[in-house]
Amino acid sequence: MSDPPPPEGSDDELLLARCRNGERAALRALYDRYGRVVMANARRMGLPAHEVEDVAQEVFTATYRELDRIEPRALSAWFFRLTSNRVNDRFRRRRVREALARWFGVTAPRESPDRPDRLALRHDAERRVGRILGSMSQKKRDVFVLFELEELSGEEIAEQLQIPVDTVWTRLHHARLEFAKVGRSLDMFEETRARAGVTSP
Amino acid sequence: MSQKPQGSAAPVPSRLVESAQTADELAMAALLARLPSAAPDDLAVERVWRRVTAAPARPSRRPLLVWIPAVAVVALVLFVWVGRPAKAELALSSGGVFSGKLAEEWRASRSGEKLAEDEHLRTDATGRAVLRMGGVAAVLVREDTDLGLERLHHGTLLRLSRGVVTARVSKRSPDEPFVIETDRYRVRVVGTLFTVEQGPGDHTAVSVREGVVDVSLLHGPGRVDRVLAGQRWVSESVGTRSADATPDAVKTLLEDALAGRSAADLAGPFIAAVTRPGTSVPVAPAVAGSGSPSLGAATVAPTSAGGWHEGSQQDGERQAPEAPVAPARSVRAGDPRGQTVDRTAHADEPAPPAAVEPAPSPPPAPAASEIALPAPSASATTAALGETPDDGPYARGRALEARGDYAGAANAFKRASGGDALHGDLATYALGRVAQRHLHDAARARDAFDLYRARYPHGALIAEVDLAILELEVDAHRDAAALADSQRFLAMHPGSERVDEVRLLRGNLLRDGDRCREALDEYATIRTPPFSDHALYSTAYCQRKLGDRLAAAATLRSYLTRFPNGAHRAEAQQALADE
Repeated sequence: MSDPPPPEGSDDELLLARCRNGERAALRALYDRYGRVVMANARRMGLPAHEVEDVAQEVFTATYRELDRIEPRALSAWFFRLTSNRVNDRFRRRRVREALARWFGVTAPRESPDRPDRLALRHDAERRVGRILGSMSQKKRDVFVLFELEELSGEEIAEQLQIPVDTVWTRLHHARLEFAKVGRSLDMFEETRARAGVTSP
Repeated sequence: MSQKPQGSAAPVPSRLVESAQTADELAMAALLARLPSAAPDDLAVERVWRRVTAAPARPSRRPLLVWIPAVAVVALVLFVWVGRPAKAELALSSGGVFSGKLAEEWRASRSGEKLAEDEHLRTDATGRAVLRMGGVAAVLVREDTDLGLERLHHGTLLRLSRGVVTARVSKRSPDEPFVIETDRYRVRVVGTLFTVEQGPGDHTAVSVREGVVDVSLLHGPGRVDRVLAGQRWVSESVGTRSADATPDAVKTLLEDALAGRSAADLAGPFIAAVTRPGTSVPVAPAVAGSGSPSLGAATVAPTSAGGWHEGSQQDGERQAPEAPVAPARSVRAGDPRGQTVDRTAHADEPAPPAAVEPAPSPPPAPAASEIALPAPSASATTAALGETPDDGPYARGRALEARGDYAGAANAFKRASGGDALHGDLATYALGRVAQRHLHDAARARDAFDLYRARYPHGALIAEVDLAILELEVDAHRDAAALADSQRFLAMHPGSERVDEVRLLRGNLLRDGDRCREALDEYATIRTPPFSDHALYSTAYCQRKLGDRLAAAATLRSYLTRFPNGAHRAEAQQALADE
């Protein structure tokens, strides 16, 4: 699993203050602290590896532009929310492209197969999970990723998402149902079942 | 699937990979357990950092994502708003018809003019008009009427301040009603044929030919009077109903207008609707002497008054006896001269186009000018007294023509065409047509048509006259003159419904004059059936004549595909079989 988010508090507050003063070293430090987390989260949310870097760039560019708006005590939540929003934008655009391709009978443009980062995308499980997560609603996806993949506790998730813990569990319940439903509809479990020796219900 | 926890006291769910039990959960857990690490490698982290620092000032894409669709939506809305079809069009007019907004300058209105919301249409003592609201209604506006177009979208609201209108309304949804308001009353319909009149004071009358109409006070108690088909309601005696007397001619006219027929098609029914005995409207007793017409006492004239009888005139109305009847057009494709010559000269070529049946001739098309009509009865009062309108020489000519007395008709038309007679243009055209079609006096026909050209260069029937002259040239085998006249016709009347017919005629003239290449150019521009049928077959004929057998065969195959029951199907099949 990915690195846990760095501890928040006075360090983040100080770092953010330096960033607002335009210290380049502080910007780099902020990136060092959260860059990997952002990229890992984006990937856990089902984004293909080659798009993860784009999202990370967008997240940090937006962050540096809007430093004044960031609440220092919620820096981690800020990055998660921004990442989730950017990932969601991409999933939405992908769904639109696929729908258009279906309506007009056009084959959706394929990525160049020789890009090195495509190798990661070929990983079957990641591809399947990414496909399912990409079809889920953003709120459910966030909770599902943070709980099932990032293995955060309910309280940590509540803090990340700025929602009550009860809401986390409610969303998780529905997220699991949706994950199963989407997985079934996309036929994503058959091979897994076969490998795991599980028979279909 | 795990139970949904209820509140913070509920057990904390375990992760799927640890607690999966059902088949779905096991499959999901297996999938999740196989996920590789999501931690990015150092190179990727550095790559992103370089990209962030290289373009730190890169503008956010969000504004573009928001603005581009927003601008597109606004542009689309503007496009639809600007490009939306006008909701009201003056389909036909006669006499003094004016339009404009209140307190603004009035303008004389002509056929084809578009009217917008808030505009008013006014007719004077000689004016009559057919107003068409696309797909919604057609309204015959009588003399001395003021009709305001208060709302044309999402329902129709017309305000009748004075005069008489008869409306044919298509079936409307309840949320888009068709309403006419008079000074005191509101007449609401959901699809019907009815007449509303607004006299001086509070007088209102509603006469329903078809459907059901609700009449209510504009302001005041909510009483609704329902007027059924065949009934006439008058505001002075709301409890009683007399009989509706809306003539068939009006019904025919409005239904044709509502169906979107062209001005040419409407000309005959229009003349019939506004000039027939019995359709002029006498004054209602309650407002006698006011000059405001009313349908209240409208009666059908006895058959002796003009051979017309309410209820049995559907066909007759369609033919519109008063309307000039266009001569049948013999299309040059049927000229037997070419057929004979070409068959013998080129036995291996596809048979040249056989005779083409004359295309159904629509009534003469009124041009931009308005249709000349006999003046309405001198006054509504005189009509009420039983005087029949329109008994001048033109009408006598029509009657004589109807009886088959073509020489007498021609003489009557000749008299009617002299000077500044009211029917001068109609009579002049009718004289030429009778001479051409019935008397077979080409010289006399040509004189009449030339007179029309000279006297009414912008007359409503000028296109018909030009076409008739072209026919005379063809019949006289003056091919060069016919070609010149066809060229003139196409230049003068590019929007005429007869353009394709003339192009085919012109193509055939060229074809028969061994100018097949030019003929092909003409044929290529013809789009409307039945002319496109003949044009395509003639194209194959010309291609064969020019030695391009492959192209000719392809054209013939195309012909059989496009016109499987075409007029030249047998010849085309034979020609292909001979290949």
